[in-house]
Amino acid sequence: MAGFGTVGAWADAYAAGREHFCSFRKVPSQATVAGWWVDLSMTSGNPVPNYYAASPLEAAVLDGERGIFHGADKSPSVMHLAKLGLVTPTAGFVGRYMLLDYLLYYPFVDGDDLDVQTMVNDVALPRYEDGAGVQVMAVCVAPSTGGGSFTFTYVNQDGVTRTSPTQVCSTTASGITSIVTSQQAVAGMPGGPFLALASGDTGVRSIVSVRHLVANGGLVSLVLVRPLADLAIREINTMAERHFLIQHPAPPRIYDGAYLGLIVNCAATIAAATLAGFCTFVWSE
Amino acid sequence: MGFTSLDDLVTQISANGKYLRRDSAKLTSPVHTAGGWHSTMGLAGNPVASTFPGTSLLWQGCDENTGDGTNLLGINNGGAPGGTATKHILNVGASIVAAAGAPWQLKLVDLQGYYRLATTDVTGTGSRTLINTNTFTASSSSGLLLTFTNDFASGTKVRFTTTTTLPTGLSLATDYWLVRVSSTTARVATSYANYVAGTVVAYTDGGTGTHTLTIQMPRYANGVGCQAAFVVGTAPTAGGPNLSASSYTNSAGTAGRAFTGSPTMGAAADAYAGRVLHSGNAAGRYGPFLPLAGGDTGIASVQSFTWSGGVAYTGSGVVALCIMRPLLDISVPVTGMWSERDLVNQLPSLPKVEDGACLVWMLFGTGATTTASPITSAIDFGWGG
Repeated sequence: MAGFGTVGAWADAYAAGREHFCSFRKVPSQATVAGWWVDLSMTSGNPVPNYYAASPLEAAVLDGERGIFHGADKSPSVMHLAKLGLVTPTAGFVGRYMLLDYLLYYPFVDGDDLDVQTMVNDVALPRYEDGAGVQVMAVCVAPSTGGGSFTFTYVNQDGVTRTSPTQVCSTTASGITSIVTSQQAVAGMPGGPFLALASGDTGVRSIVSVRHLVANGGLVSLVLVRPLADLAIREINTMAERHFLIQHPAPPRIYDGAYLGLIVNCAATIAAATLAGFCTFVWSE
Repeated sequence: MGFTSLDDLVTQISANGKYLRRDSAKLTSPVHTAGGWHSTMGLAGNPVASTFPGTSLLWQGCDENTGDGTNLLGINNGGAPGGTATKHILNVGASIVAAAGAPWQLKLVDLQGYYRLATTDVTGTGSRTLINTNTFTASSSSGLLLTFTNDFASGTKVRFTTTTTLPTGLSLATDYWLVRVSSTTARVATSYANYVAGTVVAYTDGGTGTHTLTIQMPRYANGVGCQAAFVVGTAPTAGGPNLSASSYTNSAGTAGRAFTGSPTMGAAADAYAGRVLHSGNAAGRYGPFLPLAGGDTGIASVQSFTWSGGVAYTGSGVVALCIMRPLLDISVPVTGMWSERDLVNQLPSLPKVEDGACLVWMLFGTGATTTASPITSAIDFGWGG
């Protein structure tokens, strides 16, 4: 049977060496603002930064081996995230973290272009193929001026083409790595790291087009992600740890090829801050 | 059947993939006053906002499948698991980022539905009689078609009575679900799953005598555990009356029960959109729910209420008398702090999510919460059996 059948089987995985450990360390150079969400996949350190560099508006995938590394493919065994730990000596890095599986991105959406920008979808979702639970975040890859808004048309989890509500961008300039729709205390924003979807939609299979209603400047990548787990650093110099079988029993499944990365709801700028952490993964027979 | 053991939980999640995570995000609006309870269902975000559509005084059932009939306002939980499986909440996390207002309490509820109140039903001082029943006739139109007076939402759970004989296919003391056809007609499904699938009762005859449909709480038999709260949809201009009389049927089936405590409704400053009108720090306030009569454990339906005394509301507001079933609570002590509850080990309760549950967060702020403050949450669901 694929997957774990008992707590004992999970314990046996350790005894049988079916465990993978990965450490990571991020030292961003980018200035950010308290309360905004920030994409740490773009920041320097280990794993190496991701720049969402591909042909403009063409769907592209990230190489799973360049994210938080979970080892070689395990199929037909089933792999889960077992533990996650995070620590920082920097006040800016106190806050909520979300571990994501980065599925697909659309690079270089132009914040000054008020025409419809049509995406090229030669590549489909590599995991969670129906799009259920897949969310979209608008990550700044070239600084914006702010004050803009946009809508996007997408194919939802049922294969139906829908148009999103209006997404209000930050009222101030956004730096690289920041999610442009996550400034605090701005009316009309989605209220979190992800873009608002139409009524009843639970996920996105692909993006068809984007249209800015008001120019926002700069460039963003629209990134399709699947949230996997959360963890909060509550104070500096104290490691936050979680075991996903015992402490928060819903161990996230990690699929072959997954590109794992973190976003953070930062407490202050993370420029020159340090984040260290680890993940362990276990897999069934 | 749910989980039989921790081993079974591991099997269902890991081997059978019976796991779902759902993220939600809402943005507060307007500024909240201190000490009040609020519903997040009217706030923009994910899921989308509800404006309490419907007919004034009429019961409007809510579920995951059709929401309030216009918007899917509940946090999607993946539909019914099927078979004998039951769905449970394993873990929950939430945060609020606001310049002021902490600490907060969030309460997850299963919104059963609401009685919409508009115009003079908000501003009046006489008794408002709520609509829980309609007489109907039966005919044939792609199945058994009921024709009645009011516009009941699709998915409304009902039971039937008659003076003589019900149409063939309908039985007394049995739950059915309406499949709305028009503002005065609906077909009938024999289960929630059939309603979702559109499988309806066939027409054989229209029965004899006068038939009546009566609404039921959609997911809790006789409303056991269900509570009531007046929630503002659109703020009235001014005023602040008292709940001077009321009549509801409790979960034991006893009619004529009354909410206690003579709750006072919020005056202008505490009557903004989203606010639970009778919550707050002042004397005579109760929150988030109206106090039930002694010994009562739930509400099957509300028949009437009277707002009088105090100052009558003015303007053209919309208020909803919401019926909801509380599922869990989580505190958020400070801004930006991600708070979590493990409901398997830490607070072992595994709240059950009934098929079609319309999940909505209620928010209590000890301070005045800043407008446009994000409320984010993540819920882990698992199911077994």
